[in-house]
Amino acid sequence: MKGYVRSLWFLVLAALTGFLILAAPAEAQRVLRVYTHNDTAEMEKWVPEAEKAIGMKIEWSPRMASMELWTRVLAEAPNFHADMIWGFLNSHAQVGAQRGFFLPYKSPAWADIPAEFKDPEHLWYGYNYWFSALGVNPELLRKKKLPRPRSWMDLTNPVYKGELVMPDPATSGTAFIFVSAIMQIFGEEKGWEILEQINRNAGQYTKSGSAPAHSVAQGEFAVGISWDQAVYGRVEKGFPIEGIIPAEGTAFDLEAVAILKGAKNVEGARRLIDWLGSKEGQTQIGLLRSKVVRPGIPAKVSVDPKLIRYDALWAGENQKRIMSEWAKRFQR
Amino acid sequence: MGETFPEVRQKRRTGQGDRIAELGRFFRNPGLFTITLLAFLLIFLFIVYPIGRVLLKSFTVSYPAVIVTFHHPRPAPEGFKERLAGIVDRAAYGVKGIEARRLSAEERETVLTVRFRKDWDDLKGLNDLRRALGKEKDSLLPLAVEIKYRLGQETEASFLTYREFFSQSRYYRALKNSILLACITTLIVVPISFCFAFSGLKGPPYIRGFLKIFGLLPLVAPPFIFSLALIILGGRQGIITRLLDLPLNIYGWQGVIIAQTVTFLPLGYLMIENVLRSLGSNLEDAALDMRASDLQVLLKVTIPLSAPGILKAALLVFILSIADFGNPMLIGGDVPFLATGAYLLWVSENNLEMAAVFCVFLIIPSMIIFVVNEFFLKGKAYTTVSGKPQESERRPVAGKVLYPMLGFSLAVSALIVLCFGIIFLGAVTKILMVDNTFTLEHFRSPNGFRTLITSVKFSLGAALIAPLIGITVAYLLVRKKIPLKRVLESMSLLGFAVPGTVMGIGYILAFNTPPLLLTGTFAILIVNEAFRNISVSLEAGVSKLHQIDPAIEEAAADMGAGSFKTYTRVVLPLISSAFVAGFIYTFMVGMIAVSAVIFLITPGNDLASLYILSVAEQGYLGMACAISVMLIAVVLGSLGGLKIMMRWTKTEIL
Amino acid sequence: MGAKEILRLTGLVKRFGDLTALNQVSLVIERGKLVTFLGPSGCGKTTLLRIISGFSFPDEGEVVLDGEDITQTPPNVRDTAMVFQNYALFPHLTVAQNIAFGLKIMKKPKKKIEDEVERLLNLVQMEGLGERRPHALSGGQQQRVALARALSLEPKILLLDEPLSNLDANLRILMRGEIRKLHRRLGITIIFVTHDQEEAMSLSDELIVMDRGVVRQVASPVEIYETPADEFVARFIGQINFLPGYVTAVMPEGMILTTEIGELFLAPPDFPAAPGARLAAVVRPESVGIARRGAKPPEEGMNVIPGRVEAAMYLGFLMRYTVRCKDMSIQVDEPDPRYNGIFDEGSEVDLYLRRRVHLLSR
Repeated sequence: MKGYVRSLWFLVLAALTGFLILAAPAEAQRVLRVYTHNDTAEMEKWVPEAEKAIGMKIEWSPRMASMELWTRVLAEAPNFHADMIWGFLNSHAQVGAQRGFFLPYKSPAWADIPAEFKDPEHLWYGYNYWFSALGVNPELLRKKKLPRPRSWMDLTNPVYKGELVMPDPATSGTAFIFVSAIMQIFGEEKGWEILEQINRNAGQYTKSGSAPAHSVAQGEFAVGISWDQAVYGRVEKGFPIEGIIPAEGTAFDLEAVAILKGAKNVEGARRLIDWLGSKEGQTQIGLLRSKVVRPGIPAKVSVDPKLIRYDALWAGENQKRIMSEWAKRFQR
Repeated sequence: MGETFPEVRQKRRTGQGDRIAELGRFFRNPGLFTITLLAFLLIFLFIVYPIGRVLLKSFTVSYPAVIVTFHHPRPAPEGFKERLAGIVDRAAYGVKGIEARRLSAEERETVLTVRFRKDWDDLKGLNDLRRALGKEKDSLLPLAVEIKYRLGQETEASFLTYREFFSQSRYYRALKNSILLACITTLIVVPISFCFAFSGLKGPPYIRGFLKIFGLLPLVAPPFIFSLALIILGGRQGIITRLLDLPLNIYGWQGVIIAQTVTFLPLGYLMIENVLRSLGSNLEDAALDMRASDLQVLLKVTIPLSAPGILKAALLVFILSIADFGNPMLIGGDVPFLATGAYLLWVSENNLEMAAVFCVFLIIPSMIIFVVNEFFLKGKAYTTVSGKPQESERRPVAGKVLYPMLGFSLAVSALIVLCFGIIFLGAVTKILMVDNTFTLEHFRSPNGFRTLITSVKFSLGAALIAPLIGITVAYLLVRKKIPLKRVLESMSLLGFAVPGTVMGIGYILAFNTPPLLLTGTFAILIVNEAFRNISVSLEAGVSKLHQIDPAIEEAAADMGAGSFKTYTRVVLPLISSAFVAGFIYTFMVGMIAVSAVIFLITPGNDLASLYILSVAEQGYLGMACAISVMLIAVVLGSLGGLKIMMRWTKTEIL
Repeated sequence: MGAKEILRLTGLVKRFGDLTALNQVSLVIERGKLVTFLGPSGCGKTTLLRIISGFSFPDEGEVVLDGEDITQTPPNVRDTAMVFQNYALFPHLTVAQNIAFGLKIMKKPKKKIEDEVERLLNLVQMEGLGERRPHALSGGQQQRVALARALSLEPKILLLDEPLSNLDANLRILMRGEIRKLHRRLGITIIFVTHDQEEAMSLSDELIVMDRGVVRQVASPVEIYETPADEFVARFIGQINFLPGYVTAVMPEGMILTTEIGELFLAPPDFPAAPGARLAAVVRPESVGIARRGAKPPEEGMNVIPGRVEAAMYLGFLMRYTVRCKDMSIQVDEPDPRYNGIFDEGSEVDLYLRRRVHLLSR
């Protein structure tokens, strides 16, 4: 019997350790919880800076693809599990504003930023913008004797069969912008035809919008549809990848930030919006993104793209319809 | 104490009168009554109810709807309703996507409900409708109404989602693929496991320890790290692909099958080795004595005799393969599978109805197999009943039987080691085989550390709750006379039998609205994980309790210990080894959990296993490797610590 | 080799780590005999059987079966057949399939297998039970099936490894008789392993008593009982009074052995014993007579030893006394207490010892 009594100690010990570990860091500091569709690598750099600026801990994640993030927000409404969204699609911001998901905040730090980047009712702010871009691997193109694509139309060329990688519009905002841009450039009917042919060439769909640039840089695919910094960031690091802005023009999207209704830490969220509009914040963002919204802040402008007049509201209002059409036609 | 008391509860037949008396006693015992009620309530709430919600959801269909309210003065103007209907008709004519509309008049207001197509954006519908009605301003003005717009949803019971499932190939192919995948994986894992177990038991003695290490190694790693390693090895730009200049593509079927094979090997190996060991060498010796060659012994005696056990292992691997989430997610490419399909339906389309239908098709095979296992295979195993295990020396098996199996096992072991090696090397080099510079930069991931700590907290929490509940239920089942035993047992085992994806979606459906608003909390993650795993602790508890002679408890009670005291002083210490087993199992499973928790995480509650999945998907393979290495280190470290703790307290595991 | 010899074991040594399970065992077994390996557990008898059957291989020495060296031959090509302690019937096969197992392996024609199975079922009195599964049989029936299965191989030697130990007492006695009958009928060589001395005595033509890896005595049951080769054998088989002493005088008609219970006048042993030789008298309890103190000995020239009854145990068919004689207790079995009367504890008695007793030199 004595052995058993002794083994009772094990239970006590286990329980004690458990409680200690579970109860120990009872957050002394206030925490700001954010949703984001930003790249993990970006967040790992920005978050520590932002934490310093707002004086609070920021818990971000899970990192989600744009569509994933928005579905989650829709599903959670009106009981959101985060205080704010830092980084989501402009079209979603417009839809969210209409649905009344956001808490308005008039940030003084944003006073001298042009109105086109701000919601007139202060429900959301666009802190930088990004655009669709192609990434090609010149070595692979040469090796496989493929022509360099110059336009969206070029991607329909059957020579690229199996050599094209693109994100899945079901999850990726990059892909959604690309698809809705094609619709807006060519009209819906012609647009679907073009997508049909591009789909035939696609060797792989990725969940995130950055992954195609990564694949091309790694030499897995010759051509990838991605977004500007995913491609140019890798050009800079010396990967075998080159960026191409299609001749028809490309769609840009504002990177939006908004406070969710019912946020527990409104103060922190406001401070973060202030920081994102400030010189320091914009400088930090500019280190990793092509274009920021505050005049006079340098960003990594490596190209001056031909931008189309992208209708984000139209994209937002027709997302479900386009996506189910896409799934019906192309989902493998 | 070595004696066991199998099937005690089945055999104890009681008459009708006795049963009523027993029930009376049960209701008069407030402590027992409360505990039993609590067990029933908790298990129902956290296991049965979410599954029920999934089932219900699959039989509904919901449409986006816009609700327009026309407030009007009283009394309503002459011919108000007819005139309004005319206006609405005109306005709706120009709005796309309308499926049905309904005008209902009440005393002070008239409500127009417009149902849109299922795949229509409700906000676009609302805006279009507002614009169209805006054009009718002139006609509406005389009616003196005030108009309010609201988004809504029309839900009705329907088989439509099922019909849609079977009419669209992107849906039903997921079912077909999942079943095919499970069949293939099972057919591969079982023979490999058999080879491992057989050559471990019959080969040279040192081989067994060797094979055991490699066979069980995959247990400590997140289930998808093999996918990760395979991508590094055999992706389009993988090491093998480049070295041999092959047009390999690991994504898709081949990748998932290889990754699942390695992932489920430990389980198959453990189960089949157990079967072979319990078979003993006696019958094989007899067959050999009957002039059978080693090959004939294997084919005519060993395999037929271990067939029930092998079948059991096969069924379990089948269930796990169908329920697997991480591998299809990471390496499945464009091939749709049920478990991941349900997740993607949720995240990309918010189509919970179709996700629920996917879940139903995930539940069905698992339930069939669960039932077959529980009711047809239970206790149907050939074990040699001999007083003492024959401590005979290991008789060498003919090389032509042993060596192919051993060679095969070693080849698979090499693959496992290779995968682990790749993960480790991938973590400490810039880009493995492209830039082999040693670096620790992948480990510098603040979020990686944070999620790792969250994972430990999460697993610990679940590992403390699961055995507590599981063993309490085991105690109620084995030792107490309570009503509806079978129901309680089946309900508890359900959490394990049902794939994690189903439990994830079930929790979203069940706990996303007040008064049961629990999603978004850390607690819900722990609760989910704990309740999914109580069955392991329950089984361990039941088998331990069957080993304890009830006389010991009675003796304790005779000596004046009350029921509670009996439990804490006598029963609890005795079953602490069951607790430890449940604890270790739940902790390990928690550290590598993916499938259910992916539906429930929120900022700040992110788990390391999911973070690895996420960074791997974005192509940061080095970082994924580094966090995997840290995760494996934490699991191994915790197990080591536990072992030291157990040695110190002299507790045994089972 | 003689025509009578079937199995020859020479210098067998088997070690398990530090433990020597068999130490230089050499034996010859004659054709058609029923031979029993007898000894306490751990004596090496099972190891020896496993070496004969081929499940284990000796470190030294050789095994010759019917003139053929089979020391390193695996069991499936040896002409031996084994009946296992727990019968080792295949649970997934019927009784008939169990018996036919070896015949099928040997690729006998189908018809022949059927006939053979039928014959063997008859032989072990299991007619009509061929379609049963082993778990539906009683222990005795399983035993018969195991026997039939082993016999189907027509082995040169049938090996039985404690085959009766899992049966209850009555069945054990019955099966003992059956095995004996079967042996008589088939004339097959059988090696029987047991730790049960009664079983061994009643069955065997020849007993091989083993202890700690060494063969102590090879002899018929009568010889083993009446003239054990050493103290171990004497003590292992039946009850014994072991009276150590030394020779104090040798006379033409006998000698005097001085023991702890006094001087005994005994017939000389068949080996030379000079005065001073250290010997021991081995006396079975039933060979010691008992009578009231001072009664007349039933035979002339018997040794009379006075003593006091320490314990008296009534066993029905005999009376078992423990009698204190000087410093030693002597066990006495009185076969006919009804006739001779019962002595209570504390009674003063005389014990009678014949002159001819079995003597061992120490």
